[in-house]
Amino acid sequence: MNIQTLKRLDRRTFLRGTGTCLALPWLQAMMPQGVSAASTPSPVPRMGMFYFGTGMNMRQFYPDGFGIGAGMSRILKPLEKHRGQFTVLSGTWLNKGGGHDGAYPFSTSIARGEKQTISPDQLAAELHGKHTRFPSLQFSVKRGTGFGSQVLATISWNRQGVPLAAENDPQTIFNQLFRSADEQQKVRQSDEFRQRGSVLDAILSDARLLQGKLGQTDRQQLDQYFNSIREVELTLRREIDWADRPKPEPNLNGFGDYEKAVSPEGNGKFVYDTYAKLMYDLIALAFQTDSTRVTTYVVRTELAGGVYPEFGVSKGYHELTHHGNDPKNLEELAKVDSVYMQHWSYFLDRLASIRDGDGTLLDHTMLGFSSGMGIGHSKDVLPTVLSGGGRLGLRHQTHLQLKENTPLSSVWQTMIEKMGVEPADTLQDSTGVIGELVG
Amino acid sequence: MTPCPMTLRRKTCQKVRQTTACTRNRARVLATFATCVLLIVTSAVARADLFESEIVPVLREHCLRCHGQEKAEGRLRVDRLTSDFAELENARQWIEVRNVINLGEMPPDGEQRLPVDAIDKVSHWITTGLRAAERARGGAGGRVLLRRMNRHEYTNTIADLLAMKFPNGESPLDVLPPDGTAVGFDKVSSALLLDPSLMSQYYEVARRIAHRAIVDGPPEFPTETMRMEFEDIADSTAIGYLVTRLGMKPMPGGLQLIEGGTRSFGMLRYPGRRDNNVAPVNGFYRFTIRAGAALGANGEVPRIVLSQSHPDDAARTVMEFDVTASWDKPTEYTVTISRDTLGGELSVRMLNEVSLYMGQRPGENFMRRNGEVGKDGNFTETLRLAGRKVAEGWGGERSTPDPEKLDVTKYPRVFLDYLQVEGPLYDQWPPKSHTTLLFRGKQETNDLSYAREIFTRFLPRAWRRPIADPEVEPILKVVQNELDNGETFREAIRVGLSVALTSPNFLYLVETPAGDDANPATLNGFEIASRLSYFLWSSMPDDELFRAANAGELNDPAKRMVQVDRMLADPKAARFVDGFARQWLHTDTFLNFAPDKYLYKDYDEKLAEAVVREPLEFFRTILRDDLSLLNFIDSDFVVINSRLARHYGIDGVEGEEFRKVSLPADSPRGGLMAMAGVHQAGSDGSRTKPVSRAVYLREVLFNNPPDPPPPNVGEVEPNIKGQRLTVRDRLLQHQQIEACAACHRSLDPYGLALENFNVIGAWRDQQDGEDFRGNNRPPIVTSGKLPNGLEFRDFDEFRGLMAKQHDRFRRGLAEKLLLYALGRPAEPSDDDTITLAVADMKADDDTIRSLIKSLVSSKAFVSK
Repeated sequence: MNIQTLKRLDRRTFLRGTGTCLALPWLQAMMPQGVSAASTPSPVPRMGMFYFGTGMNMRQFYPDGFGIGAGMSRILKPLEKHRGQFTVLSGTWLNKGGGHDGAYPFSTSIARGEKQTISPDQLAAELHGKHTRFPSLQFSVKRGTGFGSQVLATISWNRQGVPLAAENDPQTIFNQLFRSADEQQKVRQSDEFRQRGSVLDAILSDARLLQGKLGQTDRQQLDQYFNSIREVELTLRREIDWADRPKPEPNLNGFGDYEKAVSPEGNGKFVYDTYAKLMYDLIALAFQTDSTRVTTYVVRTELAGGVYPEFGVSKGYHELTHHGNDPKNLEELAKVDSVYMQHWSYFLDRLASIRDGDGTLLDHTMLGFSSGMGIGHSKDVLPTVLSGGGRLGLRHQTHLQLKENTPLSSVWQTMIEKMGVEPADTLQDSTGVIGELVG
Repeated sequence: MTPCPMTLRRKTCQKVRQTTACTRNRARVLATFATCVLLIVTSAVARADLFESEIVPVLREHCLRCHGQEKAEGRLRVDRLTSDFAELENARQWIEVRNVINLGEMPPDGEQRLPVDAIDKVSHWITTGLRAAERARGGAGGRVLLRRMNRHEYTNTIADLLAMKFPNGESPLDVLPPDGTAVGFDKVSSALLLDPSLMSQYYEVARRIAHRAIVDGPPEFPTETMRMEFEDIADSTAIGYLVTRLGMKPMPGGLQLIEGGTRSFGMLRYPGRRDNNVAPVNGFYRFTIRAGAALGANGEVPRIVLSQSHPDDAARTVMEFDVTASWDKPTEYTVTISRDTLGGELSVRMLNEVSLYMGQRPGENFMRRNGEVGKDGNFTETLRLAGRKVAEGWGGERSTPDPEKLDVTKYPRVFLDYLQVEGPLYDQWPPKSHTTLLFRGKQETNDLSYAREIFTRFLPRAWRRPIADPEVEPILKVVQNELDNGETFREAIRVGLSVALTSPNFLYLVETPAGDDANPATLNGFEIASRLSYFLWSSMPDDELFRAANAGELNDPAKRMVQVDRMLADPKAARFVDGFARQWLHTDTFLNFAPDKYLYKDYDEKLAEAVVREPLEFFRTILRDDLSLLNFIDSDFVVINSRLARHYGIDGVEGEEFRKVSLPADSPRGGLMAMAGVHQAGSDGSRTKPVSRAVYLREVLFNNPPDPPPPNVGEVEPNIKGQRLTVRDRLLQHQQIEACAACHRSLDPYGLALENFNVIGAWRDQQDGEDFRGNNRPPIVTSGKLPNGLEFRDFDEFRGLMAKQHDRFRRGLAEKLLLYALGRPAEPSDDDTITLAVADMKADDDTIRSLIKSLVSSKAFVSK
């Protein structure tokens, strides 16, 4: 690293340097769409898990009737044009969810305050991560993990049950994915790799020395440190492996401006509408460029306070969920929910517009969203929707009635098995793959 | 029943007197003891027997109906409780049982009360059982678990270790992600996890710190002084139009300002820079304005704001001040603050300007006066006024006041002499970190033996303990490797420094006493030094603590007390306020719900800022002046600034700084429950949320939060259309619902008692907010009954009843502070420590100092 540049970097600039510099062999496919699609090797499966905190206005969520022709509800109307590409799942529940602690059990079925376990996305990442620059990516409207509070910022957990920090700044993520090292950085790159490697070696010796002096329980705590060193070493090795290949340069025609992106904690210029599209597009771009095959995204945290003046809604989301059955509040809640669904539709549009193999990216991508509660702190009546993955074998039917209290983990199991994860005896409290979707 | 020997009885009694159960009524306790029901509890077997013969019957008679298989209210089933206090969850529930029966909250009001001797019997049996279990366990419960520093501690430690100051955006605090919390505190081992992305960030942050710590050559941007004389503005052709305005007039040596403001017009920039910025690099800059003032006719002091254009609104203000210096003797007003490279023009503006336009004040006054006298038919006066208006420059054919006639001496005016910026500022160059690490200075050599000396000196401070020789080796290996690869010596040291700061020895607060679970070991002096410093300073020990540790003094509680006094007097103790008080009082959540701006027009930015700071400044004052913590329940003073004084209707408080102000006798303020921030936190922007306020009070004042609502619980029942029920009415309806009653009846009174405080914490006697306006404003009702059956008519009586629960408050606070000090929640095995802390507080005027000292002198504080 060069001292002269280092001195003046802010966090954002600084983070640019961190994940640096890898690309994929076939990423000439990043040419303008369609130009090189034919040369793309056989498509790979992708998956994403999405969290919408604080439930939705479930009184206006579910489609009218069941089956492929079910009528769109007030909230789901924006998804009409994607009929056949998604299924609303009635009857899902989260045994340990309900209330504002629901983000904890969301992907693991384990209640807040208890020792967590590996989440389904990370199981998929263990399988697919070795083929991509990033084993998985964690997106969130809030940075970090938020662990301990109700406002959990991530739904990804590693094997140690440690929450994986999420990033909320579109510019930072964009730079990680696509910004190439400049000439100066390239010159220093091998030095930087060497230095990072030898620091990791040294702190590993430190940790080993220390471990011998600790008691049993402290040693378990230090395991997180050992595991983190191992992971950072793997990342380093991955970076070295890819260092000589150029980063993908996706065609950004029709995309927002990532150089001017404002993060949610940024100055007063933050506009949610712009932000949501930038974030969804990043996921599409990451999948398109095979930078990763696994993402999670906390679209809205629990107790989220954001306001939506651009949509003509007077109150913040959390204020609205305290609707007190006031029709005006419920209407505004439905309105905000439907805005979120407009963004979801935008996202599906984007994925469907990208050629992938003999189909579209949407055909090879499974996206599951839900919440930690339904309405009024309930642990059932969840807003669960599975989208995409048509060519991976998902048979969508717009609205499907599942057996009452079907665990959310069954949805995750359905997704990861399509990702090729070997069926475990049981995934969490899953009652098995949702047969109607895959049969 | 076995008769009990006198000796044992007396001994046990003395011990028991320390517990909350027995302090209230010694006579009663003794009387109870005379029955010798419980005093012979010497073994687990005897305890189990007693459980069956004495405790179970009481529980069966008084508790089982609601806390049994059928109902299990509050998720408690007494039929599931056992006499095994070694079982943690069981022990916790027993503590809860003891606390509620001692408080008289259970059995609830309306049920048959527990006889006094039954209370004592059960309560004492629980306390004894807890203690016996702790002895048996040898304190294994309540072991402190290895924990990493949180990001505040990390930042403070770096600042103290390397004498570093960080401009905004470059502090580790800005780069590291927010930490996990438990029970609301970012101090708890089990929540301070480490994941790979955090590890990468620790490494990157360490690299940046290393580059800041050791430099090559002179600074890229040396400190420069940039000055703009205000009279020069008049000569700038680009801006000639400005000084033609009435409110601004060039004078010899400066500029007179009555209205509006002026900018720097590109006349202030760092030498050699093309951009219009005084800051070529993110850093610290000193801004100085030399100014004097003439007061307005009513004695009004002109107020000036200096700001810099910036894309981030929050980064614009540089300083704001009253110009108290006289016109003839201008003085310098100075501030040193962090600036980044995104800023631009500087502007000086007068905040309390007089608008020199027709139709504005003071011109408008003529109009109004004229109308008034006209109505009275006093035409002579009307004519006279009209004449005066013209004479004084506010009338005639003009559209602006006539500068020839205007008598500006009546208006507050500022004389601006110059604006000066110095920066970027460096405390010294090379930085102190550089000269400390590379201690040989010019005698620098580039060999490994120098590197060894450097790290042998540095590591004991960085890792907060003496270092064994082999521990330096991994770093030296790295340094050697860098030298072998052709890096400069300084770069090699930087990489070595990155190792030191990414090592678990730095990131974790390591404690390695050679004890085992049966015999908790005592910490060594250095480990105690760190416990002290991370407790009170959120940072590493200083030289004096290291000295005391080295001299073996810190194992002596009396010597620790000396250190506590010294540490609390140190400016670093401000971090205790920010670390503990901020999290204890939940001030970060105060602004979660923004007040509806149409319903609450008085609400503004300054008030928002002030309501968050008030409880913290209150805490700071109590800490600094050794006042009683009980002031948090009720006080005869507030700690406020002018904006809050206006909000609270208290006269005579000028200026933005917070200070202690005695309350007028009729003021409802005083104590935490009357602070506006608490009310705003317990509101949703347009209505109050009494349940949320109640949860806050019980959580913060008593560390006794109610259980969270069960999943699937609905919202408060609707306000049926056309029906205009107050929040109170709706809540009372809610209480009628069987499923909600048990919790809400014991919870809601705490919140409903505060209904006189509206969404923004202003006092109200009638309903406001929501749709309540005009004649549709029912009076506020705040009467209620506490779970212990005591009734109150209004807020004042309610606060009086709270004030009677001093021990409950002390205990709750002691538990929170113990968590903050040890990084783990209080456990049943801490019962003695907590009980003693309560007694110690009581004995010493309830100062924060007494509580801190009690905890610091406890065995738990020095045990691993």
